Amino acid sequence: MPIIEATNLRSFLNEAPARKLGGLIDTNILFAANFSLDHFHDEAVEIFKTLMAEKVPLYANVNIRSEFINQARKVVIVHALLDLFRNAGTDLPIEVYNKLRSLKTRSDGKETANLLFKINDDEIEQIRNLLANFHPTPTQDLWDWFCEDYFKGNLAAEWDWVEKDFGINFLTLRYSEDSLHLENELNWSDAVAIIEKTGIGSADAMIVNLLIQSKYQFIVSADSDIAFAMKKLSPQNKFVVVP
Amino acid sequence: MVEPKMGNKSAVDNAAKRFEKLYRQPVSKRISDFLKEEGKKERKPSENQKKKIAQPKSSGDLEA
Repeated sequence: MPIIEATNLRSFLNEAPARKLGGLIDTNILFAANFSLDHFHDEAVEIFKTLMAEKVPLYANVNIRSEFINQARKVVIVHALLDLFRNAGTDLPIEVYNKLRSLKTRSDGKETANLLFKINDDEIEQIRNLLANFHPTPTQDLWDWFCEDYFKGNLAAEWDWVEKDFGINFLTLRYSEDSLHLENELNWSDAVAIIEKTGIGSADAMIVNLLIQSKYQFIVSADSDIAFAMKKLSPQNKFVVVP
Repeated sequence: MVEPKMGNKSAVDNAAKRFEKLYRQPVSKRISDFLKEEGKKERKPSENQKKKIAQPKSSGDLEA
């Protein structure tokens, strides 16, 4: 079976020297290590400490980076809106008040149940449209201000910190540049074949394809789709380490 | 060959605190102030609305 429990990570690494050459690290593990409210936070921190103690280089690709920034974006939006609600409350225009009150009620419910509150892209679009109805200046709407005040310069800087602190080596996916890390060139047709066989999303399929074509034997991931695809494909000497 | 970079254990311990600075930013004062002003406008009837409330339309207006 290509699934390895994270509690066995150290022994897994020490079973074969090739495993210490490097591994991929998925977004959810990186994100969990950075976000103390995440369900897998403690496990993710321990995983990184083990990998660092064993001096295993870690790698990520563009899909992993973009999903990290996407998750960070959602956390920032939720917290900013809840703070705005606490700060302005009933002084807000009624439609903004109603929307933020609904967010607050759901957030409180999740907090009581000790669960992480998340919103999806459809809801973010609703909020964006709501704020874009207001024009504090002739050239900017309130969503422009929101992006300027909460995001500008922050998200890219956050990823830079994560790369540095966690020692993430970024793979560009160009064979000429990454041939040291790849056994074979990455082809879109291989990623599509993974989608066709397993039904997983294209971003996950690209990550699985990268693992299969790379010189590295494992990925650490909490994504059930990645684990599912790896079980289905069972590529030789490739593993998923799960928390 | 360039050596791959490696992480830093103490930085990993502090990463969550650093990430908190990103999502626990102080509320944007200009957005909060602007929305409060908009809320006031919504609750306060304009001069025109006041006139309309004080002077109901004449029957002639209604017919028109």
